[in-house]
Amino acid sequence: MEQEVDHEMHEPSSFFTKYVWSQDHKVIAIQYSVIAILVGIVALVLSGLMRLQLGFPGSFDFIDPSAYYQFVTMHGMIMVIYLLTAIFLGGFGNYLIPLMVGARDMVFPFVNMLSVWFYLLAVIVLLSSFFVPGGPTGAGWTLYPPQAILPGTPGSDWGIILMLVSLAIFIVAATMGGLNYVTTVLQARTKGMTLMRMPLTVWGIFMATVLALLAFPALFVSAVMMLFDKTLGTSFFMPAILSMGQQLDHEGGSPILFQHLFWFFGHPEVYIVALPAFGIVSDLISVHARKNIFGYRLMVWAIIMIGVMSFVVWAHHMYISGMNPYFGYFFATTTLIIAVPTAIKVYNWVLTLWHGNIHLTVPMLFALGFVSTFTIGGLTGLFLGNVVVDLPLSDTYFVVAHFHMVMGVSPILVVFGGIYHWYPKMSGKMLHTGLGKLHFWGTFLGTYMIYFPMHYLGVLGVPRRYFAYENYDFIPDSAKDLNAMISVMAIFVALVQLIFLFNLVWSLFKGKPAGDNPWEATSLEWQTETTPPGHGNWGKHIPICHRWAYDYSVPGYEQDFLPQNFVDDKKAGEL
Amino acid sequence: MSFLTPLMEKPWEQAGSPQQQYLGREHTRKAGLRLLLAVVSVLFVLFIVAFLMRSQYPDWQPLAETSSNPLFNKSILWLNSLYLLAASICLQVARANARRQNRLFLRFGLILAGLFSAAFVTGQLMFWQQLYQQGFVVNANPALSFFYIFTGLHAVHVGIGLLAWLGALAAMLRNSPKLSQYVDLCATYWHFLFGLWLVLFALLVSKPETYNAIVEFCGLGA
Repeated sequence: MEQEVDHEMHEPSSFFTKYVWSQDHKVIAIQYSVIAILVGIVALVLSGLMRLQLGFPGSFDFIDPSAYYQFVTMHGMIMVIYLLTAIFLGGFGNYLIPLMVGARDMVFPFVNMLSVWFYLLAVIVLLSSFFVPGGPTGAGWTLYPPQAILPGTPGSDWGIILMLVSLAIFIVAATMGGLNYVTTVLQARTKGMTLMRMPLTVWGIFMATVLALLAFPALFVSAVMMLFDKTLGTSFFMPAILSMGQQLDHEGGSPILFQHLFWFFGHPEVYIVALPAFGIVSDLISVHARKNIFGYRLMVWAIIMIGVMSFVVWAHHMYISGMNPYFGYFFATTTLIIAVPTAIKVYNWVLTLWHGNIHLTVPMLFALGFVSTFTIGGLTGLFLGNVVVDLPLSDTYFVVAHFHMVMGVSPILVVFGGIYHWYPKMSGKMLHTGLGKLHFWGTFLGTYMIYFPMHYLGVLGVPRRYFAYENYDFIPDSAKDLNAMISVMAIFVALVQLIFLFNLVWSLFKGKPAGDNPWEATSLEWQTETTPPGHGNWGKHIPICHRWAYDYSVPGYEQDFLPQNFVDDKKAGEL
Repeated sequence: MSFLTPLMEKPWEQAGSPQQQYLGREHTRKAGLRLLLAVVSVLFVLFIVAFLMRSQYPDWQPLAETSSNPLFNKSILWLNSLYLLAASICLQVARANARRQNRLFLRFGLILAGLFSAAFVTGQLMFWQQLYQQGFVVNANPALSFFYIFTGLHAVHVGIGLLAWLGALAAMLRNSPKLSQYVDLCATYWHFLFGLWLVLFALLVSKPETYNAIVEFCGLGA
C-alpha cells in the first residue's frame, strides 16, 4: 500500500536549471559538498605550510611571522565553518533529510537554492582576502578585538573586513538552509515517519540545525559590531588604547563582551559539527554491524540534551580571560555534565558493536576510527573543562591536540565515512574499496601520529600560536625533533587525501555499479526507484513508513534487514 | 502548549484531498515563518544583551535624558511608529477580508500596508539624516552606535518584508489563489516587526535607571 500524492513536479529541462540554478535538494547538496571540499583543500594546504614552519623553522623564506598567522587564522576559520559546518548541514543535510524522511524535496526549494549561492559568495569573499593589500587577517580564528583590527596584526586593513563580511554572508546562507532543514523535518515527513522512527542521522542534523539557527546570530552580532568598530570608529569592543604610540579615538569598549558573544556562538558550533557526526556514525555502525542501534530513544534524548546543554558552557573557553570564580565553577560544572550524554552515546555505539555481525567495510572503518579519536579527544576535554587544569594548559599544544582530535579529526573521519557510505546512492557507483582502505589507514594512523604527541608537547609547556621556538630554555631539543616528525606526518596525511580525491573522480567513471541498496540498509533513502534518485525522489508514490530505521537481523525473517517501508504480511494477516 | 504543537504534529495528516493538501502547504509556510521569527528574535535579543552589558561602562551616555541628547525630541520617531502601526493594521484588515472573500478591502489593505512601510523606512532615514546634520554621527557615543545598528537592522528587516510584499502584490495582480495565504504571512511578519520596533524604541529612549535595573535583575553586570 502506498500513498499517492498529487505533487507539483516541474522537472527542470535545460542544463542550467538542472545543474546550475537547480532547486533540487540533491543537486544543491552536491554543489554544497563540492564547494566545501574545494575550500577545505585550501585549508589543508595552509595547515601544511604551518607545519613546514614549525617542523623546520627558518627553512622556508616565504613564511614570515605574518604569513604564519594568516595561515593559522584562515586554516581554522575555513575548516570549522566553511568546510565542516557547510558539508554537514548543506551537504549531508540537504541530501539526506528529504530522502530519509520520505519527502520529495525540501519545503522551500527556492530558498534552498539561494542558500547555496550565498554560501558560494561567502567563500569567494573569504578567498578574495588572499589577494588584497596586506593579505587575509591573521587575528586567529577567534578574531579577538582589539588586536584583530589594530595595525600590527596582519591583514588589519582589508583582510579583517572581508572576513567579517564573508561570515555575515555565510550566516545568511546557513539561516536560509537551516529554516529549510528544520521545517522539512517537522512538516514534510511521510506517512508513518514519526519523530521517533527517524534515523539518527536526521536527528543529529536536525538538532545541529536548531543550534545553528540559534547560535549563528551571536556571531552575526559580533561580526556586525566589530565591522562598525573597524570601519566607522565606534567603540563597542574597543577600549581606550594606544597603538603605535598614538592614542586612538576608541574609548570604553569591552573586548570581553566580544568574547562572550563569540563563544556563545563558538561553543554550540562545536556541536553543530559534532551532532551530525554522532547521527551519521550511529547509522553507519548499525548498518555495517547488521544490528539495531543500542538504546535508540536514549540516543535521541542524548542528542537533545547535548544540544540544550551546549548553550550553557561557552565560558569554559574564557577561563584565562579572567572571571568571577563562581562563574568558573558554574561553567566547569555544566561542562562536566555535558560529558554524561556524550558518554552515553559512546557506550551505545560500543554496545551496538557488541556481538554484532561486523562488516569491516570502508564506511565502518571510518566509523570505528571516529569512536576511537572522539573518545581520546573527549577525555582530554574533561581535563580542560576544569578551571585549575585549564589555566596552565590553555595556551599550550595540549589544547591544539584536544580540539583537533575531538572536532577536527573526528568529524572529518565521519565526513569520509559518510561519503563512502552514500556515494553509491549519489552517483550509482561504488567507491573503490582498496583505495578506500588505504585512505582510511593513512588518515587514521597519520592523524594519530600528528596529534597524540602534541599532548606531550602541551604537558611540557610548549606554547601554541608561536611562530618559532628558538631560545626557550624549557623546550628541550627532543620537542623540536618531535615537531619535525609531526610535520612530516602532516604532509603525509595531506598527500593521502589525494587518494580520496582520485577515488571520487575515478569511481564516478570506472566504479562498480552500486545498485539501489548496496549496503542492504533499511532507511528510506535506499528504497528509491532509481539510483541516483530522480527529480522528486520517489517516482509516482511516496513510500509509507512502517517501522523504525534499525530492523537488522530480526529473528524469523529470511533477509537480515527490514526496510522502513516494508509491509509485514504475516503480521498484517494477524491484525 | 501551542508553541510545541508543531513537534507533535503528524504532517501526513494534513495531506489527503487536494483541498487539504493545499492547506498543508500553507501550514508549512507558516511553520517556516515562525521559525524565521524565532531566529530574528534571537538575533535582536543578543543585540539587546550587548546593549545592556555595554551600558554598564562609564563612558555610556543615555540618548533621551536632556534636551542636548539626540533622541530627546522623539516626534519623528513617534510618527514613524504610527506609520508602522498603520501598515500592521492595514495588513490585519486585508487578512480579515481575505477570509471573508472581500476583494476590495483586501487589495486596499495590502497596497496601503506597503506604502505605510515605505513611509516608515523613509522616515527613519530622514531621522538619521537629521541626527547626522546635528553632528550625532555613529561613533559619537556608544548608545548612539547602538541606535544606528538597531534602527538600521530593523529597517533592513522591513525591507525584506517589502520584498515579500512585492510577491503578494504580484499574486494580487495575477489573481492567484495563493494571495490570501501571502497576506496572512505578511500580516504575521508585520505584527512582529511592529512589536520588535516598540521594544527597541522603548529600550533606546529609556532612562538609565530602567536598564540598570534590567541588568541587575538579569545579572548581566560585570
